[in-house]
Amino acid sequence: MAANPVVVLALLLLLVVAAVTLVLIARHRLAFRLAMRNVRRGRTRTVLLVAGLLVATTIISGSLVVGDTVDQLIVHYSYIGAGYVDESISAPSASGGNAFFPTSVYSQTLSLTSSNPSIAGITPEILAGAAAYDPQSHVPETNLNLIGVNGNQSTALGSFVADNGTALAGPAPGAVLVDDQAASALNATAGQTLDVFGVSKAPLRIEAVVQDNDRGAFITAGLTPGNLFVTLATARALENASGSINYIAVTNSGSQAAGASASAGVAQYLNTTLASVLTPYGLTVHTPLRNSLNAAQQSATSLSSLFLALGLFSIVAGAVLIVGIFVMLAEERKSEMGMLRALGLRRRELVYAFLFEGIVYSAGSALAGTALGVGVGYFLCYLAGKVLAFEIPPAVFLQSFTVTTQSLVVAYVAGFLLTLVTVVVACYRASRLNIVRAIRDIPEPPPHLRTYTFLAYVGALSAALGLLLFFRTYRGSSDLSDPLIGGALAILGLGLVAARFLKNRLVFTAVGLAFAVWAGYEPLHSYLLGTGHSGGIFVVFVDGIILVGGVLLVFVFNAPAIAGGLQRLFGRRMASSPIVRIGLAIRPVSRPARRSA
Amino acid sequence: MGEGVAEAVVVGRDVWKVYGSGETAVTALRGISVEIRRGEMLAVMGPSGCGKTTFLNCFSGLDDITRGKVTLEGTDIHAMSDAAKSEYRARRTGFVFQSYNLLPILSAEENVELPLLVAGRNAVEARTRARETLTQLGLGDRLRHRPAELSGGQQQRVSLARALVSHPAIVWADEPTGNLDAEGSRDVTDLLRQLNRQFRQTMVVVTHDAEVASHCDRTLRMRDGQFVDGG
Repeated sequence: MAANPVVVLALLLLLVVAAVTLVLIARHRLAFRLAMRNVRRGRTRTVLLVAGLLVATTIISGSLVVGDTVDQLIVHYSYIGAGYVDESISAPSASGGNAFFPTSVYSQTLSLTSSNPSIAGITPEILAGAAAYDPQSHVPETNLNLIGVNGNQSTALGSFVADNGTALAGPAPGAVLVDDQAASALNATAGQTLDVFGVSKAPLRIEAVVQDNDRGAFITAGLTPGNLFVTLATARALENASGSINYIAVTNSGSQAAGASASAGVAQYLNTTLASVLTPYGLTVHTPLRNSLNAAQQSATSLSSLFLALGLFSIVAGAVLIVGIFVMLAEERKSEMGMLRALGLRRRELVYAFLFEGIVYSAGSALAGTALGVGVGYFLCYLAGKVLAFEIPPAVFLQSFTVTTQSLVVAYVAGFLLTLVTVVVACYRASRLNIVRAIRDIPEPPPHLRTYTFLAYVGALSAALGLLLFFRTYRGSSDLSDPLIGGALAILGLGLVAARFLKNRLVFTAVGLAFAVWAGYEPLHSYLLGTGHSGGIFVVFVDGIILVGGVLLVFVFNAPAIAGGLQRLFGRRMASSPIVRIGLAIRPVSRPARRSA
Repeated sequence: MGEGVAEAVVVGRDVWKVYGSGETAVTALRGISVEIRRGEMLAVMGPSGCGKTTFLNCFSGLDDITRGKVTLEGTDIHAMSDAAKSEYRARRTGFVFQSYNLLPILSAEENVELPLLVAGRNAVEARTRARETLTQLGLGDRLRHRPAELSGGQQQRVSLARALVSHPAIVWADEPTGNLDAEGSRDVTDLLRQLNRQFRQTMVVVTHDAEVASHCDRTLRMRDGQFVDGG
């Protein structure tokens, strides 16, 4: 079996990271020993760290699992809907549906392709729309499929299975097989007579109600509306199409999956071999199962991308949390790190010590996040099943729940690398400590006024660009994300200018609240931006980022007050517990001032 | 150099240290010049906020200076790259701090062997020397204890062992007895003096304790960032 290239690539990436890590460990053993000591520092603490770090991976994993399940679900219905028809030969008619052509086309097709071992069977059929009326229950149904097929024509399509479990080769002359969906719609049962309307009308005895398996649910996949199976002769009579058919079903050898795989080759063979037979009637060869499976894959990818896009701002927030956690760790160990630097440990070694520790946490959190993501995916499928219950039975949704190796590997590697990259950034930041301040555990001095002046200029530029973008796009039909981004840039820019003159906490709390209102208060959008804008998933992403960013700013600049509130609510012990401290990891750390000369 | 007069190991010339800038600037060292000779045990005394700790940090290379020059064993410490400074600290200096600054995740022997491992010494040799040094300092039965399991005096002994295990040329001690009671203080001071005599290491002890200073060869007093009785 050929290896999946995505899995191979992901595993290769992982191998490269592992190899580089091993080389680094061999060259920086002391840093590794220190890292391992820190990992073993406290079990509860490590578990909480991993829990804090796994958010992003969980979202990635959950999204991919939903994609897998939807893929499996659509594939399931594709197989049922296509039955054992891998290729079909038909031509569209001017009035819709398929155009009729002489039955001799079928005979020639059969004769010309009989030597091809890839083809297991060829079946002539008539497919048409029909209505039916149940004289007993007085229930009409106008949206049914009429399928004319002879039971003895080809065994390649498999047997019908009646609801009582009896296998049937096909409908008897003058009778009709009704699938579960149609029987349910008509409230019909076996043995009674049904008035069937095609171009003309015929009363037909219901020979059996058949299961919506890959024979009975042909075309409909057992969803809507329902099938009526009759003999070719009956179908011709109902459609006034003597001596004609309008559909040739070709079944490939092997299983449905094998048939779908061979479909492109067989279709090409049919086009070449039957060109002279098909061209006069405008007939073409189709690959319904293959097309359906391709569409399934696209739908699954789209849905997976949708969930991933919806989760992107959570992933960003997760990444910020990872930085926060490592900054908190660094802050907590500032004195130790300062002492290590005083003893002569190079800055690079300190980065490696943190990096090795981060790798352990990243590997653990990616593993836990991937597993948790499977659970989240199951929950999402459960919810989707509830929401789509009118279309698809919830049980079918959950029966299709699938987790592929590819998704697990990709989620793990993506989550691991995302966490690792964030950890590297945090490590570099942590290593830039001043030895003296670190040893004495005193805070870094605030940024110089020049820094604020520079940021004010950047803010003014940002505000100008933001306002320009906003006023150019706020009325019109452009993507809604344009004025949203413009407004957010203007708010941020004005905040940076204000920070030059006012206290950070006041300014950035206001900026955070403004972000939250700007992104989260829909009436403001409607009032300022109107309803003419277009918008897709990117708008959700932008809106989410602004909203999460706003909440984070409010949280970051008011964390001491939040911590104080928690302390008042739950007491000092609870407020200083690892879980609360890690929960407050995204806050600027306040420390006592310099103690002595 | 005449007999009995050792070479100057630490030489500072017109050293200034200013924290911050503009209206909020604080001048911690005001043009300090000093020479400290090999094997000398020097005490630096003065009231809180006079610049004692800043002196130690700037002269040991832990912190940058604003102006002037500091040479350690003939090398301008502030002209070195960060990596070279780290290398020098690992091989030629030892530090003792008031709050011990031991790594809580490591045992006593692991704390002591750390400078040797940082300096790139063999792990077995580092462990052996750490044990020898701790035993010499009377902690042979506390090798595997974590800092939290030791008394303040014992922790400071471990800290001393860590500073001395690599036989550094210069030991910088910042208020080494600041957190100890009278007995512990006397114990550590005696130990410092004994080791100074035994290994002829230069020791610079920043303290506000006259008892500690009385054990040193020389005492410099600081006030407002300057030595008041000559450098």
